[in-house]
This record gives sequence, C-alpha cells and structure tokens, in this order.
Amino acid sequence: MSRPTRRYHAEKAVAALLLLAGTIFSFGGYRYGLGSMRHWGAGAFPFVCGLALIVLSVVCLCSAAKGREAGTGSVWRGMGAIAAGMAGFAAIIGSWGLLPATFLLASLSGIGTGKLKVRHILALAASLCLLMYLLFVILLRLPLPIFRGTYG
Amino acid sequence: MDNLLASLALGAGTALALSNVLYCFLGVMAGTFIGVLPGIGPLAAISMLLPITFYLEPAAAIIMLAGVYYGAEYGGSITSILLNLPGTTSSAVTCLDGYPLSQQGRASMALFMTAMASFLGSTVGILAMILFSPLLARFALDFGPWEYFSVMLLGLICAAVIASGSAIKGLMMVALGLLLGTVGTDVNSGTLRYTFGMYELFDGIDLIVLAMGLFGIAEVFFVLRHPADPKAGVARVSLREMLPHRSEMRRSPAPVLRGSILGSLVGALPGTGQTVAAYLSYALEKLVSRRPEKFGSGAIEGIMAPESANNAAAQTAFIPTLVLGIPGSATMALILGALMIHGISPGSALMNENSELFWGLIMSFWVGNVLLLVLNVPLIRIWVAMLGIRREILHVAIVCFICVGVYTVNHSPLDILFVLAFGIVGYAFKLAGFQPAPLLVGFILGPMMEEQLRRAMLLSGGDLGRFIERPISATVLAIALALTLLLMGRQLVALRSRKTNG
Repeated sequence: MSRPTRRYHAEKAVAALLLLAGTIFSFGGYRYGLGSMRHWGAGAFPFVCGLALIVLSVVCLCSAAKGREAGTGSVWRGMGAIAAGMAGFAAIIGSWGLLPATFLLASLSGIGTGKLKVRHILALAASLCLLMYLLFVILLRLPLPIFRGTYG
Repeated sequence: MDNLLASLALGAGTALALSNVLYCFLGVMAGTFIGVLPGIGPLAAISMLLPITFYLEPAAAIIMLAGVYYGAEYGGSITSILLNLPGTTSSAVTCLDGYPLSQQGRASMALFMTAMASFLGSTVGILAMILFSPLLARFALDFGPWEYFSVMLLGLICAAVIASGSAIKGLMMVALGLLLGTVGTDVNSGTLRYTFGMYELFDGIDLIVLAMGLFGIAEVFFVLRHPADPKAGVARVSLREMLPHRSEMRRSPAPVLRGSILGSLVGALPGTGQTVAAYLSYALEKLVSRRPEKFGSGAIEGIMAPESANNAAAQTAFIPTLVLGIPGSATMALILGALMIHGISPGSALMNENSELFWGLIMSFWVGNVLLLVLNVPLIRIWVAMLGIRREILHVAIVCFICVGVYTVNHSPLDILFVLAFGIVGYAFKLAGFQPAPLLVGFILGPMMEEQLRRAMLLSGGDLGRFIERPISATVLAIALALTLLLMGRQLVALRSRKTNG
C-alpha cells in the first residue's frame, strides 16, 4: 500500500475546512431566518448552499486522491516574508504614505524570494516606488498619500 | 432594411468624426494598459475616468468609456497568458490554456491568436447587435426570474465542468463562491449576513480583493514552492513565431465561430455577461472536442473559444444596458450612470430619440476593435519581453501592483489583509488540487441567483414546479441536469478505476 502523500493530506484538510465553512454558513443561515417557500428569508439561500457544500465536502473527504507531490522549494520563509510585507504595507500606508509602504513591501517580498542580493533588493524597491508613483499618482492621478500625508 | 442602412450611415458619421476616433483610441489604449495591470479591472478604470468624461460631448464620453471597457477585456487576457494572472474575471478561463502555451515558449503565438479571436468575436458581436438588437431585446424581455435562475445555474455547472480534475472539487468551489457572495447586507431585508460586526464587510467582499488574493498572491506563493524552469517561457518574437502551426490554424475557425455565436447570445442576456460566456464556450469546446484531454495543457481551442466569446459578449452586453436600461454587470451599470449624467435616459426610446448616439456607439465599437488590433499586434513584442525579466523581480513587482491597486479601490488597509488571507486560502486550494476559477463564477452569480430565485418563488407562490412548466427554463434545467449526471458519472468511473489499480 502506498504511503499517503502531502497532497493527499492537503486535500483532506481543505475538504475538512470546507465542511466546517459549510456548517458555519448553514448555521448562520438558519439563525438569519429561513422564511417560507413563498417568502424566502435572508438565511434560506446560504442555508441551502451551505448544506450543498457539506454534502460535497463529505463526498470529497471519502474519495480524496493520493496524488503525487511535485513541489520542491521551501515556501514558509517566502510566504512569511511576503505576508509580513503586506501586513506592514497595510499598517503604514495610511499614516506614512505610498512610498515608504511600497519600499517596505518590496524589500520584504524581495527577501522572501530568497534569490536576490541585498543591494538588488534595495534597488528593486526604489525602482518600484518610482514606478508606483509615476503610474498611480502622476499618470492615473489617484488621490494617494505619497509621504506622510502629502498628496500628489 | 433601408432604415437600418440609414441608421448605420448615421452611426458611421458619428463614429468616424476625427475627435471621436481620437477618444476611441485613447479609450482602447488606456483600457489595454489598465487591463494588463493586475488589480485594476475595467470597473476601476471606468470609475477613474468617469469624472474626465463630464467635460466631453455625450457621444465622445460614452465612446471613450466603452473603449476602456473592451480594451481592458483584451488587456486582461495578456496577463492571463503571460503570467497566469487574469486582468479581468472573464479572462480567467484564458489562463487554463494560455499560460501553458506561454510556458512552452509560445506566448507570442497565443497573444497573436488572442488578438485575432478577440477581433473576430467582437465583429460577430457587433453584427449581432446591428441585426438582432430589437429581436434580442424582445427575447430578453420574455425572460422571467425562472429563466434567469436556470441560465445562471447552467453557468455554474459549466464552471465546475471547466475545472480540470475533479468535478466534485469544482462544485465545492462553486458552492463556496455562492456562500461568499452572500456576505454583506441582504438587499431584500437589510439583514447583515456574516459580517461579524466589521463595517468593511457591510457591502460584501470586494470582487477585486477576492480575485487578486485567489489568483495573484496565491500564484506567487505557489511559484515559491514550485520554482519554474529558468529556461521555460522565454519566447522568440519573430513573425514566424507568432503564427500558429498548420494543424492549430485548422482547429481555430470552428471554436471562434461557436464562441462568437454563444458569446453574442449569452452577452445579450442581462446578468450573465462575458464571464459566463467565456466559461460556457470553454465547456462547450471541451465537450465537442475529439481530444478533450489536451485542454488545460495549451490547446488552441481553449484560448480561441473563450476569447471570441467574451469579446462578442462584451459587445452584445450593451443591448440590455442601452435598450432595456438593465445593466448586466457593475461595469455596465457605470456606463449606464455615465449616460444618465449626460441627461440621456436609456430604454427602448434611446434607439429612436438618440439614434445618432446609439448607432454612433455601435459603429465606434468596430472602429475601436480595428484600433485594438492595430495597436496590439506590434505591442506583442513588448508584452513578451516581460517574460524575460527574472521571475523573482516580476513577483515582487506583482505583489506591489496588487497591493497598491487594491488599496486605490477603497483606501482600506483591511482590504490588503483580506487579499493576503484569500492568497493563503488560494494557495491551500492549489496545493490540494482545487481550481479557484469556479469559486469566482459562483461569487459573481450568487447574489443575482439568490435575487432571481427569491423573486421566482414569490411570483409562483412558493411553487417549485414553475421552473419546469416554463419551456425555456425547463430546457436549460434539463441541460444542467444532464451535465451534472455526466460529471458524476465521469467521477465515479475515475474513482472505480483508481480502486482497481490499487
């Protein structure tokens, strides 16, 4: 008997999560009110769709395929760096502005790729700041805070 | 007939006026570039350009906005093919075969054929609009909520068909999309559903946020795990490389014709639009093809059919908007808004009272599509050159474009965190072999389906039988049922063969 692969576990995990999502949506739908056949309540449609998702998830859990896993790279470091960059971008764009937020995002994402040297990352971040400024502020004339509340 | 020719001549006069050609050119060019940027679809582009059009003549304003709209449709497919990032939702299906072609080093051919398919699809759509506009308007008027619901249900089943791999997984994604579409304020009762007290969710989950997370960020994460072959995707761009093989050339006209006709029909129905047209045509091609197993690995039919369908639908989508005053999509609603800002009320009277604008707009579509073709074939070199950039640099740039683009829509930092969350979810889906495209279709159609279903049940006094008493609805539901049974049968056979093989 072949040993279950990572993909097999991922498939089961996603199916289980979707089963949970279906249950939450159905339960929520039931609470919002189902109404009658003539007057469908606010919860009726999500209730029905939630039930459908539950049934499908159970079928999927029972028939998860033992596929092959082809991936080789390590994803956690890269994902962590990009996630940190995006969270940092969200945290500072309102108060610090577009340029510092983009610089932070590009630097952290650059580190996340794991293949760029520090000086390349800094040059890339600076170029992307310039590109975003030219494109979004100058060309599209969007009202974005550029640097600490200064608008273009 | 004389009347029609006179109308066309009137329209040509408006569309070919130098200033209108110029605005049309500006529109399609802006649309193409904006469509190429992931995160900024036609909706955001038209909202940005709407204030500029206040200062223009009504005809020039609408011609320019329409140019942005179908220019972005074309631009969206460029990133679908080159980077597996759909610039617009309707071009998501082009990723399925366009991206594999690009990985095989045939990006320039795929882009060239896409330009051709888009042009031919649009031409058929425009012809359909000219010839059948009044007739299609009447046909769409016959549609009640039962028919709308059934057509959308068919659209969802088709979305599950296109998901390569498991049909169950496709249906699960559709169901999840429908559920995500219910988040926000219920339009009928005002009940807040699944908002967990966050006011950012009162208007529901933003389509751009969902699409950018599931497609853009998830793709970046996925590539970190599955580093691409550095030699893959580097394409040569001579005229020779742009042309398809002879066998591909032979296999192209039929999908384009089928896609264009299907797209013209589907686009004219309000509420369905290009996305459904693209998915339906892809599913149709897969069903009629003698080699359906090639789909998903760079089949030419897989880009020709959906691209001609979504461009044909992009044109005929103007029929319900202009003739009935019912916008088929959020983008069409904005164009409707632009018309109203200029004091023009859409509806059946528009064709008679503002015939110069109506026919001028239709003729400008053709001018715009010729301009798109002229503009895009030489630009293929530039687009393909994007592939020569180191993947790491490209991915950092994509993450930046997505974040800044998403932030510009609502100026909400929380949207960025939602994109991240959907990116992680999308990555998990990809890892487990779930395709996110059907989720997006469910998400777009969900709210409209719910509304039509509730309306249908109210009008029929809670009688579900009305769905099968009405001939159009019954026929469409029968097709949907047959497709579901086919899917389930295929799944069972696959499961059984796996068990026998151990």
